[in-house]
Amino acid sequence: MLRKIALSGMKGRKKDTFILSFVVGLSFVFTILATIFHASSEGTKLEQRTAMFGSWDAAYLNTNKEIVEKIREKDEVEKLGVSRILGNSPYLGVIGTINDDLMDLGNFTMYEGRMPEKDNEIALELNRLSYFSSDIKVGDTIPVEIVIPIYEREWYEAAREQVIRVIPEIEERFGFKNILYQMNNFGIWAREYYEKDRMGELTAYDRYPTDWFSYIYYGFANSYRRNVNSLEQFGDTKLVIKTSYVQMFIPDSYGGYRFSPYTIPDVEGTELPEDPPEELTDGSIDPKELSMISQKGHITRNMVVTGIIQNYSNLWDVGDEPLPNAFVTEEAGKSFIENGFLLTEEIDVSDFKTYDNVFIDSSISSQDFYNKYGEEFENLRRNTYAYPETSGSTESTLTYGILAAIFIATVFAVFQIYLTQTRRRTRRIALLKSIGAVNSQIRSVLLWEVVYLLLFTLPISLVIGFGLSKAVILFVNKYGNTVLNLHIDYMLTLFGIGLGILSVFLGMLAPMVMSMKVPLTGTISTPPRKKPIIKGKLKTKPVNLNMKVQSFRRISLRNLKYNKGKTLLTASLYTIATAVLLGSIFLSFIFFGDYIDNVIVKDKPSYGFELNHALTNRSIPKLLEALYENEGVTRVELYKAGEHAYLWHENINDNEIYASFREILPSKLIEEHFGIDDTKYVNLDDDNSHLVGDAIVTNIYTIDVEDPLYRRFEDSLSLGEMDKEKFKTGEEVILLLPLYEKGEGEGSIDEISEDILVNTNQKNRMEVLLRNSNKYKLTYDFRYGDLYSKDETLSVGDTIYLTIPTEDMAGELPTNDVRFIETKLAGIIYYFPEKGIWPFGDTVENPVVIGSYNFLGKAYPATIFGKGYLTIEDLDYLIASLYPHKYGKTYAYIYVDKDANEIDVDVSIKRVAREYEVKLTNYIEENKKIFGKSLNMTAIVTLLGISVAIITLIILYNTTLSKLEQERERIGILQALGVTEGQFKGLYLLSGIGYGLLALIISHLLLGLAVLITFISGRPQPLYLYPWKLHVLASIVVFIVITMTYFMPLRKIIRNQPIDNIRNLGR
Amino acid sequence: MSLLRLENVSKTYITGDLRVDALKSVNLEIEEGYFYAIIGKSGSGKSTLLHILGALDRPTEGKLFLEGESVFEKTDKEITILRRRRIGFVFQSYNLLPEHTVLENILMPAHLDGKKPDENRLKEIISALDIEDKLAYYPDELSGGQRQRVAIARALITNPAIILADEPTGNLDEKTGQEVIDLIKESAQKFNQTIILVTHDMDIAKQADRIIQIVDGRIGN
Ligand SMILES: Nc1ncnc2c1ncn2[C@@H]1O[C@H](COP(=O)(O)OP(=O)(O)O)[C@@H](O)[C@H]1O
Ligand SMILES: [Mg+2]
Repeated sequence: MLRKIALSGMKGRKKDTFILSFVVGLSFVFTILATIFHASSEGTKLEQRTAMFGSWDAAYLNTNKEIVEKIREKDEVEKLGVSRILGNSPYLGVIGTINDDLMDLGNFTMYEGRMPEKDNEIALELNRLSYFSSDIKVGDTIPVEIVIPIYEREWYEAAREQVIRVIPEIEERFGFKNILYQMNNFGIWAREYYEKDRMGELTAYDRYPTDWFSYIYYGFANSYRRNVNSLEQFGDTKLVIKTSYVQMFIPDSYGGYRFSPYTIPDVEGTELPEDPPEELTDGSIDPKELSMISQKGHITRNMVVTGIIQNYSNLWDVGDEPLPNAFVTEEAGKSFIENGFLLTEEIDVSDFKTYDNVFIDSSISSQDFYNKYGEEFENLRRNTYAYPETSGSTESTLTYGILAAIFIATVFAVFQIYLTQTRRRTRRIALLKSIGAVNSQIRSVLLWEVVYLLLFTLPISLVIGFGLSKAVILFVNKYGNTVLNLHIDYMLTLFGIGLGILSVFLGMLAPMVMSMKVPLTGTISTPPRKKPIIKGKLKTKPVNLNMKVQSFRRISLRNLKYNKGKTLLTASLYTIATAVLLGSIFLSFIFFGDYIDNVIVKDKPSYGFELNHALTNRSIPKLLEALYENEGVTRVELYKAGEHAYLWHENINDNEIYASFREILPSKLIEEHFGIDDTKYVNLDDDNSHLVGDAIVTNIYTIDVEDPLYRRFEDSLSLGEMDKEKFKTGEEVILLLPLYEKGEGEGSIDEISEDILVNTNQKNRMEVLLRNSNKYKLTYDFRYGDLYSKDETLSVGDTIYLTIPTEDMAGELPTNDVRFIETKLAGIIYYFPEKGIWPFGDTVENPVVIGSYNFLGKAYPATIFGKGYLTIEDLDYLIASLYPHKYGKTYAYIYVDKDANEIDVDVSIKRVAREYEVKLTNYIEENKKIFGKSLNMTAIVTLLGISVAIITLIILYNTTLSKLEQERERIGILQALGVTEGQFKGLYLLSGIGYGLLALIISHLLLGLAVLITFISGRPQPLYLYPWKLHVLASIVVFIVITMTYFMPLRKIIRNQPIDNIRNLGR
Repeated sequence: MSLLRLENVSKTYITGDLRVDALKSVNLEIEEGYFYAIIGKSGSGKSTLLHILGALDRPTEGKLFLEGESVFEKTDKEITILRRRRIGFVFQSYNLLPEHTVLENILMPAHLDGKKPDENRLKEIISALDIEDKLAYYPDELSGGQRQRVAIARALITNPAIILADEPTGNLDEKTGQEVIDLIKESAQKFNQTIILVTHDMDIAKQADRIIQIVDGRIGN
């Protein structure tokens, strides 16, 4: 019976029931959407993480059979992936076995083909392909060579052992390292070598050590040794034991390199006599007494490539431990070791052991498993990459924030809608009461209404919510360049729905209590009023009949005051909507801030190449061609650089940034950044010592004037102009001088922690240290263009003095000469308009010289010739020991089309990188991570904004309508009393404007509070970068919408005849 | 020339499928300075007629002339001002503003016109209506009869040319009812006001100069 009454009541108030269902349904839909989106985002991340980092919970690396078995016995262990490390292969990298469980837990993605199944099969990691000169395809048979180190030591230890054995007295007298060191650095016991032309001019000069000692002196472990090999065959497995010894012989021609004193530490000992000891002059060694440097077993077998695995070994959470780059079956492992290597008769291998890596899948969480067994198994490590601790992530906080916002909005909405119904309801309730219904029965009528409401809305909302979730995910995938899979966290969604149901009940509570107080005579024309304002006061005083004229405005104001509750409710709803919308913009800004700052504004490339020398002008086009060969590559920006040049100009001592930097720079680092006064450079005299002594150390980046990059710099100039000809010849250069803002910092060296210092290098150090000590902020970001100051110690047309250590050799000894270069400053870039030029926007160097290739040739002549006959390894060695800057550097930044086939591009760029032996940096993953994160966050925030805004709008619509409906009578009376349409319009417009302004002001106060919190919590946001235009636009739109929603419905009412309005609720 | 004239006025209410012809082609002339009483059964169209005479409602058909000018051809603003200055209306259901005191309610029509009414006139009205000691009260604190008297005071305060009252004495006891009628009549005489009063009370109707009877939306005899 009661149920029927409830149902028919709801049917009777069709419009109200509809609005109520709509709001409740909407809040369910958004709750479902928010929770599913969150679960999908988290779930997809977990999927991606486990796909990338393996789904194993814990691992124990480099262990033995015993421990493996112990682990296997644990109850929680569900799967145990075991991989036996067989050894290293020159091309294939680390080779290991794989079992079924590991295949499961590894989540290996096959680029092509499949994992090995038979004992002659092998699968390789994708990155190994670039090690082969020819293409390797699935199905090819390749020789698989595994190298097992049996014995190994530093070559010079072997050499020393040999010296001690043969001439112990000399070793004892001078010390082995000392001998090497002194010969190396001072040319002691060296032999001189001249070459003169016919005119008697010296054309070649060199010194090298005499006699047999030179074998050691020049002896490079790998180059000067003797190898002894043996060959054995076991089935289709070949085994070669290679043993290398220190061997002494005089090379035919001079081609060796010096031993770097860096690699021989702890040099101590007396000075050597001028002449080598007698014993050395005719020494020779019995080959039988050679001492062993290393011994290795090389096992080779032909195997069939069954598949190519996506790179994983550099991704997993295993620290520095190597993981297999190629997998074979456990069978194949046996045929390499037990049926191969261990059968050798050449040497004694009874002690030889292989190591196993085990990967555990546990029935409990990664964290729990680790906590439980971390002590028992000392080297157990957990998979923190796949299973990071996410509980406190911003996204979960946000999702709960959304649920809370929806919750509050729904409570409000239901409350409000019920409140507006009260009037119409009172009559009905009074009727029910008059026919004898008691309060509890009325309560259950109302409760039944809620139940019906939920029964009606929930199923529909569920369908729409799930459908919409699917649609949103499709949309995000389509436009966000991300892959989001639908996941449902039933607990979370259920929680959200529970919250929704609760909010409906809560919202109904107050109106329910109210309607229960309805008196029996339900005919009252107004709902029960509160006590009138200032009641007693007026009555006790004699009434002044000659009262002031009450204007319409004042009459209306009285009405607002009288309806304080409703006024407040309306105002707070407007404020909530506004605050949520503006808050969404603010949050999106914070979340996209990272991506904007790091990728867009700095123009971050996809890949970076770094080469330890400047390429010749002839080889640059070849490199570019090789890169552009892949169509995915859209742009390559290449610099030839010369580093560590002393830069001086007339006003350099006025530069306070440099002075501040010098103050906070630890003394051991000063030489990396400033010229110092001790005149170690021989051609510096009193007249020009300031060119180094007062100089700042800078790097020179040079570009091809015909390359589009030239135009980019030209277009970026803040001051001056580039004359292409003069720039090309090197007569002119341009400078990058970052914008700066002086901070309050008083910091000194002690305050800069080691952690910060460790992560700096010559290029970023000035910016990082000045920022961390709060002394200066430096940037090339255009958004600071009007906010920060510009370095004015230099102006266009100034002469710039660059002084560069020559790094030449005078015979065996490096000279301490410098080369002087003078050039004119053609232009200055304080900031890059719109987009930065990588890497300068990122690593803020100050100053940066930008010149032409010719200019670099003048400053660093060796850069003209490239690496010449030297190998990259040779160069590395020379750079580390003798000529740190002589050969310059090449940097290339590669931009890849977003839509290009990633794997294709990756393989092709890696191949070029290998060919040129460059240091390759991959920025893509980093960029993607930042973008994906920003996008997900923004999607969630937008969801929040939209859901709350829509709910609030509906509430507002309903509020204004019902408010006006209630006011209709009043409006009618006032109409009858002679208030004109214009007066009404003016009033409502003004009130709307008032609400709008109020909402804006309070929202901004709230936002200000949020900003303040970010400051207090130590994560201040760069507010000048905030999209103010968008914010202002949104504010204006919100303002107009508020004013309009308040004002528009009035028009309909004032068009009515007064009597229609008055009669509206009267009957 | 008559003060008010209705020409072929019809009023039809349509609610859903229901169609009610509240007034059917009514012709009526109201002369200045007279006291009219409208009588008729409940639902016969008395209130509707009064509302149209007071320009509170538009007829479905026909015209209303005030001093020869067609009222509903004026702009809404002009009609509103006309209502404000020339017509005093006493509603059947009082229609006081609850957030204002009795005094404020009474003064409101004058104040809305930006005028201060004559203090003596005010005193006269409130003493006649016997609401002097209720001026500081709010309408909710008054009885039905008291509220009715406040509504009448509000209608009289601007000395309008026409006073329209819809059953003003319905909620009053006989004595007060008569006092109210006397006051209205006195005011009418003093200010040469025209009174149109809807009533059930034949005693009151008899005091009128003319009686208009409505039967089923038509003027009877
Ligand atoms: N706003 C309205 N909507 C529908 N019908 C109405 C409305 N106002 C009055 N009526 C109808 O018009 C007829 C005349 O009503 P009314 O003029 O109020 O009568 P009276 O005042 O004589 O009792 C009645 O049948 C009434 O039901
Ligand atoms: Mg009536």
